[in-house]
Amino acid sequence: MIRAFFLLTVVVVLIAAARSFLPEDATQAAVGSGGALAFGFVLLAAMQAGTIFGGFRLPRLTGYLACGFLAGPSVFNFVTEDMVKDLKLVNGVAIGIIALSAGSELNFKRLRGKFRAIFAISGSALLVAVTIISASALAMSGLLDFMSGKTLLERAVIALTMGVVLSALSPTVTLALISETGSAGPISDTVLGVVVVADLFIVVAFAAVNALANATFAATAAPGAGGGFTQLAVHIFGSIAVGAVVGVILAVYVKKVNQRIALFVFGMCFLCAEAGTRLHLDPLLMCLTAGLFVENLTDIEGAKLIGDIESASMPVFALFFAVAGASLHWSVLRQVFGVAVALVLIRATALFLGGRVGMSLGAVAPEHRRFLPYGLLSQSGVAIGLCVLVSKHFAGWGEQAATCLLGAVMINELVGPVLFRSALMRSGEAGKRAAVVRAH
Amino acid sequence: MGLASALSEPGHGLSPALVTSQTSVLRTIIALALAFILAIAAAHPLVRRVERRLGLTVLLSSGLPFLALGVVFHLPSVGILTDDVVRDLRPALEFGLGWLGFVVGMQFDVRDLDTMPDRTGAVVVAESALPFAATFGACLVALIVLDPYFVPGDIVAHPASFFETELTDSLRDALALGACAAPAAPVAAVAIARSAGSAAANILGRVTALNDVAGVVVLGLICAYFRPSDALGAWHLPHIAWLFVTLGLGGVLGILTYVLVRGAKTSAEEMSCLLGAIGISAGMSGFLAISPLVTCAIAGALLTNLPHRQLGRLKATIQIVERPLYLIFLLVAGALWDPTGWEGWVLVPIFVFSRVAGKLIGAVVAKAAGPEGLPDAGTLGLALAPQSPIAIATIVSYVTLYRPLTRDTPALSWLMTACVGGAVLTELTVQAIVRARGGLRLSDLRDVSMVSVPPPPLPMARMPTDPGLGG
Repeated sequence: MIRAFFLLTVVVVLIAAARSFLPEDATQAAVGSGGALAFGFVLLAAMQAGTIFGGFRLPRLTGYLACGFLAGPSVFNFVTEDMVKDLKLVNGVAIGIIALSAGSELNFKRLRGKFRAIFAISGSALLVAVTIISASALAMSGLLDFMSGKTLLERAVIALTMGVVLSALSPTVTLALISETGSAGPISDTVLGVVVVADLFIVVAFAAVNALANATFAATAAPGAGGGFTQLAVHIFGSIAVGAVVGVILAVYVKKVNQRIALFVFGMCFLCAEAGTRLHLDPLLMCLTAGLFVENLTDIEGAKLIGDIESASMPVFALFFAVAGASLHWSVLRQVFGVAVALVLIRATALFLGGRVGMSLGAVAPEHRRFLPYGLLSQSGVAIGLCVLVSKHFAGWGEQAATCLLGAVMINELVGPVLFRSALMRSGEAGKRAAVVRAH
Repeated sequence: MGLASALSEPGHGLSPALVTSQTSVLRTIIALALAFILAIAAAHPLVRRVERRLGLTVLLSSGLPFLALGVVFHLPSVGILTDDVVRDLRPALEFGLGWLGFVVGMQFDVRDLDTMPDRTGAVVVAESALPFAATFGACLVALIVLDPYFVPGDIVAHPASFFETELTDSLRDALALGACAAPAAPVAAVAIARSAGSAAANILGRVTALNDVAGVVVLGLICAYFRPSDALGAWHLPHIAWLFVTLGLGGVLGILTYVLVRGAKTSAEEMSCLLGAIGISAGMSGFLAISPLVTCAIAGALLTNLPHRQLGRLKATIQIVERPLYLIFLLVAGALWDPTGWEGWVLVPIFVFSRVAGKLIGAVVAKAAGPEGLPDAGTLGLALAPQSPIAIATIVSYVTLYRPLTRDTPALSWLMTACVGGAVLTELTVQAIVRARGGLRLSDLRDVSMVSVPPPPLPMARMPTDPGLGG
């Protein structure tokens, strides 16, 4: 850990020196955004922060987030807004690699016995969470400025939108933590399955709520904010179809070329993320399908693929979470802290409750029931994306509601991984991955 | 609309104008991603085997299509690598230059120098200094004459103004072309010299590595003495201080990289550290208006000379990614290049003639002053004539450093034409001459990096166990 402290100090001194050479207003003209400097600094600093946090038995990814937050525009401004914008290019690749890894982890044969539990927990947790969070938001409407002056129906629709956004889980954090702790076992498998399935439910639920909100706030909805069920079907099934094609390309490349796999996957994920978004497809779903295809329909082992791309995924994970941290705005969090904390507590209670019901329905072994709900608490990319959509789509109340939601998501992003990591350690599944891969 | 700003906005709620720009962004993304995937395919070992068989450099074997693609992508009618996109890709370009700098620096292994035959230094000096001097002199005259602001009467009428402004730019540009003249391609050198025996090929392989270093040193001096951003920067230092800043920065970054990679527990962690170290090295250099190629070469040289158990794996990791990265780099270089200026094409024969003349004269001097076992002067000169891929990296680094902040002059584009056109013309001519003289003997050549000779064989315990990012 001393080495990590030393290295962190050195990279901080280096970036401070570099930033002192060019005043911020001259930077853009002389060197562009300074993206390469930000890339190197954020990657190295995040890795050292991850090591330091790991030394205190906290998740590395919380270290990445904290590092990004401190280095970002909100606090020390070593990494400016322009730099963060450039670094966000890595987000799409990260989500693609994470989804591909998640798909490659989900072997249907191995999970056959857990399908009931996965669907029961995800369905029940989401249903209970959406209901309780929406009801609570409606009850708190007197405290929320953006709800004042609205009719009951309008307040109910806003509350429902908030309920759906806050019910989103995080496949990204889940997979990153399972990978970081080297966990393997029924809890890891079930939680990963639950968050992936829940993510699909959330996409559908958000489209439905979006349509409802558009109908209710027809006068204030932004142009193009709509999205009927036909569009949704194209979005989902189109993503799955394109994902299958990506899976075929990947399988052919691995079998026939088998060179520079990590680099190839990196390029494919970039293409899926950036082109997919513009074609109104879901990169996460595309890469998830590609991973599922490779794992379940070819003779390529998903574990081998994950191993092959590990050297690309490690820096991408570190950057992704550090950039997420740099995007957290202290000013936003401070403004809505009280309401956000209340929403976080309500959400956690709802997910625990819904999770318990789901575990009973899915006949989850009693010894796993203590730990499983902790895997549902984290939020990250999907929830942030939904907040952005709320802000963009609904003039009048969207921006303020999104600020409030982002506050809650930020807290979940920071606290959720700590709790899930602790649960994995206590359950005894941490560190078992190497043994499982060997046995495989 | 630049790439970064375009990519940061997901495509929701679009106006018709935005839909058009989204379409062009989509076209850019798909083109870049396909070029990236093509670069990985072009780095296949099969392509390398063909190169070795024919003694071709990467530029002629697979680089030209990428360069041409870059030029085509930059055309306004195609509009993929527009000026905005190229500006947004600057961090990636800096990173690529940094990576290549590490590759060059890691060739400078002092332990390896100790095993060289006596008087090899004379070959290195003769084959670096004479081509540099010949090219610098010839190109300086040509650049002064071609300069649109040049009025012959000014030399007499306003000598002060001529020497302070017009000559300064031409002098700097000629020095940059001189820096590109020194490096020689290892693949061709080893292939051609093989006819004189494996010892000669081995010596020439090492000479090419040091020629690359010489080119980078000249670029470092240019950056220190012709500061591109003194008007904007907050530090106002004398030129010699910038030289120390360059050396110090390279040294600090080299030590930082060493401490980072030494502490890495897995190859994935090592790759992350390497990426971060190269990113911060290249980024800091870009911020301070120093060539990333130079600082990263210093850092790479330091890294390779410090004790490290996994040095072989580290070199292998760096070289695995080097090829696709270089091809993408050529794509961006193509977008930076405007081959339409006739002045650039006038410079091509001047650059080639002066450079090859320098190499041939250097060969005569080297044969007289160098170690035994060298091929005859003609073969030696021909072997070291094909241009190293690092020469193109050098000129691209130079152009990107000076283009945004100097007066609006097309001369920088001419330099690209001279360097790229010169590389192709030299290689085609040398290949034709060598084949006419009896062909190449290439049957037992080892695989070589495109810019470097292979590292000495490693014991099995030190061989890479994980193929790394590109594996």
